Amino acid sequence: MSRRDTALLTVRNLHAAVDGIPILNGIDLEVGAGEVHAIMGPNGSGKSTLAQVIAGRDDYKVIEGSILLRGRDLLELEPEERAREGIFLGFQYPVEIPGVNNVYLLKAALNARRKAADLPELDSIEFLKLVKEKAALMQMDQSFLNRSVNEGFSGGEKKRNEIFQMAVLEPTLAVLDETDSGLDIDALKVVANGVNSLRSPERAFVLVTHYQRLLDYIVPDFVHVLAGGRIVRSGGKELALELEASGYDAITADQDAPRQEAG
Amino acid sequence: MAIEITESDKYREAFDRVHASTALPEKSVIMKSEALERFIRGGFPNTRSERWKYTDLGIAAERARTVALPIPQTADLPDGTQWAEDCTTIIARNGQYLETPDLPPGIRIETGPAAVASTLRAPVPMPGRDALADLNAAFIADSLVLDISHTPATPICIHHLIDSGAGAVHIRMAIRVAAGVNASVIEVYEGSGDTLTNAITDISISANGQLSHTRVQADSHGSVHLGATSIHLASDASAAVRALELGGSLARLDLAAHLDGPGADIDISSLVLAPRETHGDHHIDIDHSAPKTRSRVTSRCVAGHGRAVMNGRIHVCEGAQQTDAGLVNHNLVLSATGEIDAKPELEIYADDVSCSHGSTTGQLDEDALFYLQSRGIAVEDARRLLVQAFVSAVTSNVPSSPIERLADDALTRLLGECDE
Repeated sequence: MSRRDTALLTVRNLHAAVDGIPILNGIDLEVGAGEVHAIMGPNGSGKSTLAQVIAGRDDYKVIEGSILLRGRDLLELEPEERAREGIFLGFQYPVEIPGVNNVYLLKAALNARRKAADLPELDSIEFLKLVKEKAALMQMDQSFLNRSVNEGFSGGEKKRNEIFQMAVLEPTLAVLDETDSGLDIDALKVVANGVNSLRSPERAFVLVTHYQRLLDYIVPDFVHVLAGGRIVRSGGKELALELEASGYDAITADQDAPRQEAG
Repeated sequence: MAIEITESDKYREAFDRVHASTALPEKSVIMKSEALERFIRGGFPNTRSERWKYTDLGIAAERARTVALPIPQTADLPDGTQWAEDCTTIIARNGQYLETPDLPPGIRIETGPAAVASTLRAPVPMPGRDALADLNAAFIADSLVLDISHTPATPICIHHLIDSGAGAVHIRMAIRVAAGVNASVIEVYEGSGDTLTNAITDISISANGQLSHTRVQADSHGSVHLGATSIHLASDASAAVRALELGGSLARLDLAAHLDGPGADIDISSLVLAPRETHGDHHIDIDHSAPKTRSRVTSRCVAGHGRAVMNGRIHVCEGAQQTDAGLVNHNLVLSATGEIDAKPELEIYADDVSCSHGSTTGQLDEDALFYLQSRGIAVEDARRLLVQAFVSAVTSNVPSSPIERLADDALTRLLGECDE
């Protein structure tokens, strides 16, 4: 059975631009259920853009190509529809939303997802129980439940809140955009633990990360290097270590082979 | 600087018709007649006058000539709404105070000729409002004086109904809170039709008195609603005031707070909604004329396809040392045709004070919208959530669920228009 048959996410020849500037220049990616993929690359390579385009941010115009989730064309779905289909985006810079309660948002989100999956909505008691369980997992203080979304959170708390939301929503495909940036080792371990506790044969993760460090804690099945809006190299977890040793230049240099000596 | 009064005879005829069926003493009628003549000479302020710069009273001038006639006392009492739990409700129709309910101890009400005479003797001078005050004095057929001498157990609600086809309706109230008393008063204005409402309330809070005051303007969509509230606070008196403009095609509230004694303290929450074909305007003036006084203004304006004006002026007199004043105004524009005019003003004549004002105007945060969508919230619901969050600084302070719902409904209608 080929990997294609179990592919959860299929990205084919994806081209996307923002304000007329091309950022993604032909991305091909297949993520199977149960897999963890890491997308690494230098600044400006398009890693965040890829994450946002999958989630449906309309600032980015898809010029060519396709994104399929379980064979379903994602590009014709609004961001909220993609979320209900099971896509979760962990934001690189989670925004503060004063006046919108954390728990209110999560409950609305979870029930929207359950409704789309023909499941009954959770009542307040069941929901609160679930939320407390996941909050404990992510070592988040109960008091945050009463606060507004990300309001007054430190950078690390915001990132933990992203993973906490993911744990409650149990998405099919979680795309985590530089979830590790700005985290100290302890926070990183908590976040990694949260992600690892959700690994399952039905679920897949795409970790967008700049640094190899996260991948010590969340061991990927596949690593891809993104440069100039294209995946220039793919490999197993060893590729991440190779990158750490030699830096991005060595690998992206292969791209410019006609102009430079390779290796 | 004035919209000249044409057809002044129409006004005099209306004056005669109104007073033919009232039992007002001659002295009052003379004062009223003088007020009418002052009004005719002076005219409505026009847009060249600073306080009316953004708000054109032309349409008010058109409607003012047709004045509501007093309703016979035998008319049916409309059903009142319970605007707050267990509240004592006084119902008025077109400015006429109908049968008042059994009043709890500590509350005294006066209406009719005695109340009219009383309020005529105590005019409420407010800058830029002479014409409207004179017009009000000239045409009120009734008035309400509410004396609160002991802390009531329940809120007091004055429910004003304005009938469609009534023409111009003039409303007058005076509220007195005695020393040390803690009271809660709600004013609700509901109307139908293309009327003109000219409502003036003056409030005085004696030393150590506390008042919670909520004014909700839910007049009809086609109405012109011109309101004024003047509050005087004696030493150590405090007030929590909320003013919501939810209706009208032209709605204006002048809210003036006078901190007359040391230790006086006021918190004002102001909300102006401007859906399609609506011009909403709040002019708030805080006058610190004693030391150690405190004021806070929290203002939110939401412009859909309409226009909202917010003028917040803090004036600190010489000698009003250790004044602590702050005004925060946030405005949201939801459509390309919406407009906000915001003007915070600070006039400080003392040198040991803490005064601040801030005003921002913007659109919904795209990042916040996308964040909510990425969590599965439909874009219309996300927009509504964010707008509700935006006004919550004011609406969460409202001590009445029915009023909060009224505000929420008005907001939902405004949003519905923007989604089109």
